[in-house]
Amino acid sequence: MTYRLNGVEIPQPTTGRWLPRNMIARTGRGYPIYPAVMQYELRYNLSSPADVEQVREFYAGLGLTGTVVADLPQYDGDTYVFYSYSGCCLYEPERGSYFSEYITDTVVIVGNIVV
Amino acid sequence: MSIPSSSELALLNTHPQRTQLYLSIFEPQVALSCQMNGDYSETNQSIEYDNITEGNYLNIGEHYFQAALIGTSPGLEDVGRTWVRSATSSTIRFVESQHIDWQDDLYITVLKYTDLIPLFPRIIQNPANEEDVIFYKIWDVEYDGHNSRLGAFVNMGSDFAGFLDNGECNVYWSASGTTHLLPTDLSYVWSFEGATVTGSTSHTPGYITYTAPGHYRTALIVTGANGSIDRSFRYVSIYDRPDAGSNIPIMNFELSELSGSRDGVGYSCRIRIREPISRTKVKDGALVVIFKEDWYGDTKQSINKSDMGREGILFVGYIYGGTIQYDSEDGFVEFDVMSPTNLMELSECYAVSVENSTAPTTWYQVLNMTEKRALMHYYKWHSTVLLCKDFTCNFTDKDLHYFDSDRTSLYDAGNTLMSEDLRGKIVSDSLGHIWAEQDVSVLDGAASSFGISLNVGKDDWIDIPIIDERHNAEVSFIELGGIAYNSSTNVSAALLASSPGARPGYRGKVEKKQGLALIDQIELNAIAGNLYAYKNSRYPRIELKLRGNFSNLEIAPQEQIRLTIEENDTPRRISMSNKSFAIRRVSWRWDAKNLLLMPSIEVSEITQGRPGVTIVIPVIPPEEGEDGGSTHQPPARIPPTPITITPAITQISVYHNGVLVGVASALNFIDG
Repeated sequence: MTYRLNGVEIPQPTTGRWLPRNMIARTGRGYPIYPAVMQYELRYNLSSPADVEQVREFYAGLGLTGTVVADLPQYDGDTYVFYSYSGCCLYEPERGSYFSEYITDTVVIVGNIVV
Repeated sequence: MSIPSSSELALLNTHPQRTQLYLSIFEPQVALSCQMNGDYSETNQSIEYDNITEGNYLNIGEHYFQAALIGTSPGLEDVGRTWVRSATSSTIRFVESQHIDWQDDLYITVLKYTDLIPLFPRIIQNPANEEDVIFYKIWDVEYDGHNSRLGAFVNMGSDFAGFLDNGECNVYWSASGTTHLLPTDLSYVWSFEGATVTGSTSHTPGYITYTAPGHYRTALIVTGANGSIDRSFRYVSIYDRPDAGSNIPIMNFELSELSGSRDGVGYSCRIRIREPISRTKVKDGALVVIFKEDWYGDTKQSINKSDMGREGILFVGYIYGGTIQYDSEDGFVEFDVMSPTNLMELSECYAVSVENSTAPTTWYQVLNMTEKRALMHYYKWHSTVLLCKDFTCNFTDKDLHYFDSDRTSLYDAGNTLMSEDLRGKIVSDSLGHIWAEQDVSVLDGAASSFGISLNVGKDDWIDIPIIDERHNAEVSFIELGGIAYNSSTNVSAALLASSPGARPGYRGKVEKKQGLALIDQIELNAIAGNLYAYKNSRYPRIELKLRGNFSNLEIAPQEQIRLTIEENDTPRRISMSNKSFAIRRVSWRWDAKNLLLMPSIEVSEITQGRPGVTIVIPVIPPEEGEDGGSTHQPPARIPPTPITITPAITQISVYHNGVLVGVASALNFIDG
């Protein structure tokens, strides 16, 4: 069970999590309205520049219109299994400061995930 | 109509929802590319041409008014843009084109595209009779029974943009809504450029298949058995899906301020494109289609508006050139897109005056004229509006004696007729369909005759409704007047009515309005009563933000929602149950990150007044008494004009700088 983008294994993150959906509004009855799409965050505490570059190239290769199939832990499963989510987009990877030739706090967000 | 079925209503209430938007800018194909050969002829607005590099004259339809780019290089329009009336193998005939600085060898690029423009009439003195004039339309179209044959408002659906799926894109075509102004049989000839089927003679060809990406024109010619001919064109853009080919729509754009209002003239929006795009594509008047895919829960389906088969279209409009801005620092171009009715506001035409006739013999006479016939005459012969868009007259027609438009915009000419005669309006819906309708404020029984778009309760809105509540009457008295004219007998009757009765209420102002076109006194009394009730309605405006993609909601044709508010729903503790409100404004918020498309609507209470009362117009105006105007002044005496005797002039001495330079014995005086 590994994280993959378009079937290609990517550096495994230190942590991964489904980001909470932002509540858009409440109805007149008080019920919350959520968007249909979700985001998944992959966070790397310490990465080699080569690992970060691999993910960045994925992002750059998508251009303005491309989508990816992302293998992520299934959102609505009752066991820890990975599921292939298609039609996803990648946000530009964020990266932190360098530490001993490594990059700290790299964050990759997979968006437009329909669960 | 955009009245959802029960299954569509269930879908609208299914959550979560998401919508993906795509932007299309139509790129017309070239019909003929050539060079001007010689001079421009002012007498018949034509040029000779040579050096053809693309297409041929057979791609140019007579009276299609295809756009022609005039430039110093192929494809450029740096010299100007004009429109083609007809073409032969050696000449091109334009509309009047004095705005072009014509030069030999200029490049002419005729497109398979018709812009929305005015067409100018012409009046000349009759060479055979100096007390007579001859009317022409479009420079030299002589009257030949056109106003007896009238014509059809051709409806064929909106422009379209969509994707190839499994190599096919199916586009629905129908002439549904096409209406001729006379009871004559109609025949239909369709031409589908770029489709697997090239044409059809059916009223409703149905779904037509396109298999290749590109930008295509669909033409429909409607011929009446009485000899009338009407045409219209729509434009189709077919794209590859982003992951399936290179011909893709614009994906990286922001949409803001998309809204349409009945208090305006239609829809408009602001678009910001954040990807490289050619300046020749983003230019004034370019046709824009915003199309979409909707998901309600797991169901991918879009809800239809008024045009069958156009459920995937969110907005059709035109780029307004004056708003195009480039930001090189942030790397975007942005511009306003607006409805055809907005474009009609920017184009002016000459004054037009026509009158009723039972047997028209000239351009200024229209057979048994009504509002619909006056609108048809104006827009068919003085613009390309009916060539570009669906146009529907959604009101009860009335006989009309005269129709006079000022020298004004294409929009104001028709809208003034609607507002002055019928208290109505011309409005474009979000798909560019133009509707001429009487306003809900004067209609009898609107709550029962309008379709119900939605029943809205607290499950459907978000936040808190904004309710404008009227606590005092705004209008105390309304007096309305108009003419009931019978075109077949040529008899008119002046009518007056007032509301709430003969005497005013105690709060509010007095309003008077004359010039309505009427059927009879009963109708006028009803209009006066309805207008009084509407102007004093309890809830003139309620704004509701809706929780989902209710894409069936529209500003035209007029529709209602039924609103239920419980006491505890608002701090003011207003309550109402299934109360009828008319949609006045729809605006859309597009959240690209969350793929959310959500509307806000403004509605006004639908009222039903009790009939006003008749004001009797005396045959002879009273001179005395309480209602009279006599002041017993003596009759005015006009003194006789003294006769001036002018001595005969035999000669005039002409001096220059005090020196006699000559003597004139006979003079010619030129007036003016």
